[in-house]
Amino acid sequence: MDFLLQAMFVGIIKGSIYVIIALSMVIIYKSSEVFNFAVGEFCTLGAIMFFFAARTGLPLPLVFLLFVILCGLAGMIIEKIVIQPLMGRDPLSTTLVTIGLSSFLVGLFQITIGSTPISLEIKLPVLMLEIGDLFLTSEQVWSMIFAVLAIGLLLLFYQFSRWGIIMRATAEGQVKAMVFGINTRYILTLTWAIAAIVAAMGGLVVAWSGTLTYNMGIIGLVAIPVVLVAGLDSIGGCIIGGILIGVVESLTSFYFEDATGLKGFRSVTPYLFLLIVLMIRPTGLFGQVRIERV
Amino acid sequence: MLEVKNLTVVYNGVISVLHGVSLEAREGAITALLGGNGSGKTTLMRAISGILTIYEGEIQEGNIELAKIKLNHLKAVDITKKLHLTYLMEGRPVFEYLSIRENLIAAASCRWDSAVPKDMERVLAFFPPLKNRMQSKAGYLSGGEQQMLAMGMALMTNPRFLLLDEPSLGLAPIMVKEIFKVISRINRERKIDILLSEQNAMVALRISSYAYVMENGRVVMDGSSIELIENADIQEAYLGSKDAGKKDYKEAKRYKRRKRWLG
Ligand SMILES: Nc1ncnc2c1ncn2[C@@H]1O[C@H](COP(=O)(O)OP(=O)(O)OP(=O)(O)O)[C@@H](O)[C@H]1O
Ligand SMILES: [Mg+2]
Repeated sequence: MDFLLQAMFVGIIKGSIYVIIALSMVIIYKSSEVFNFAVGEFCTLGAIMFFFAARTGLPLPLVFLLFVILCGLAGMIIEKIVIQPLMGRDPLSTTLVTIGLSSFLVGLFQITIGSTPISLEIKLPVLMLEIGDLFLTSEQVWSMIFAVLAIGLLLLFYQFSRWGIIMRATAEGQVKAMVFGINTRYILTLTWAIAAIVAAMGGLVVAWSGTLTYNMGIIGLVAIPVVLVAGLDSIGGCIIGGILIGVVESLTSFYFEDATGLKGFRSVTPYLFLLIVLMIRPTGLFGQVRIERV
Repeated sequence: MLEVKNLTVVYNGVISVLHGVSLEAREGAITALLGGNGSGKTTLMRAISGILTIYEGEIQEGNIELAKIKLNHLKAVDITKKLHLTYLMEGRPVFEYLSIRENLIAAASCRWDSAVPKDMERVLAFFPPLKNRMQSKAGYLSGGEQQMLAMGMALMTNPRFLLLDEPSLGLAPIMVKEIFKVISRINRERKIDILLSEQNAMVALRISSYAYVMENGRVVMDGSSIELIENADIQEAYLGSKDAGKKDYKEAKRYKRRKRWLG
């Protein structure tokens, strides 16, 4: 049982990355009912942007700033070119387009950075954590700090800032927003920019705790069970769902795989978990409570 | 002054809905637009506010001018933001998952200036019931409160001209009285010109100075509100003085239908 605490923590760290990626999907889904299947590639894009930003040799805070700006711009450009022409159509068309976008980006990344894995060097102070049986590497601690920061900032922005409020209003009804003078076109572009930045932060943590490869966007696939478990449009659900899946995955690898010799079984667990949840609650665990007055 | 001249509107390129509608809404006044279901009131307001294209509608002929500026091809956002004309859609267009405060902030976003906090106080003064529920979600408010909030949001856009589309829809008589009192006050105290569409002819005629009656996409009658209140045809068609029974039945049916839509 000495492993339990360790397994839980590793799971939470892993899960918080899932949360970030899923949140990126959810804010787009809420605003336009489009399911962004290219979210994994947005992660890769972020890691690549960081790689290039770091090569400028600027001090770390400026590198971060540059990284955020580049990712936001990339999100805006993608929205302008790929998404906006389809505005007003069935969200399903746009969703299908994001699948195409995903393949296109993978190809583009392979041309840009090649097929050899790159390791991202970020010079951060060493922060190891050792309490009793629990041991976390500096990278794990930083991942956690980074994830909490990313999620927290997004929530603060989305829930409390004026732009966040306007984004939520637009998500509820574009025509309604428009007659109150809200430039909904601009807000949708902004939504994609924010989603790109959020996914990029997830990608940065993934690449940093492993390596940067052109096809690391596969991680985006795990966001799908998280988002579905959460119920598609619930931000709070995403956070709980993501962590839950991270922990389940980690517990499986610590206990189940070793005991049964089924190596790699953990990659299946998010989907297995999703299956079980959807069998019991087809709307997901936390789908936004519909407001209905009688 | 808002002028609509000879306006013809079609939906989907074929369904003709307005056939040469002309009207004027004078400065400083409340102008009423009366008409039954499907007479074209909402369509006219969509055309004025620039959102017709969203409903696959199109202005085929005619002109819409606000203070001599042609609105026909302007974008909805610009009409609200730059020309200060705000259309308050029918059926209480609030953002249900946002709190009252957030709703007001969202509506003020098109003119975000230093006067917003002060203006919010001023707007809330018109609607005391909203004041102590600032954090509740709009979706949980009563119909009357939602209509107040919607009007508050329209005020937050800092309009000089308001289009109000059936503000009394589905509200209890007491609430209707309350809302119309505020509409009248807004017109006087904030110097906002108003075009008010209503099926509830009597209340609308009482607070307006001039009125138009629409039927099947045409203006069939107009005159000062006092004149119209006394007009026998109007009384028969809208105020139910002759055929009270028939009208009640129609009202009841309409209400049921509305309820189904909104429910
Ligand atoms: N998007 C649309 N496409 C096609 N026809 C439409 C559309 N919207 C409205 N219509 C038609 O236009 C006519 C006028 O409708 P409109 O909504 O303008 O009437 P209204 O006077 O506002 O009625 P109500 O009092 O019921 O709100 C109706 O016959 C309606 O069926
Ligand atoms: Mg109408």
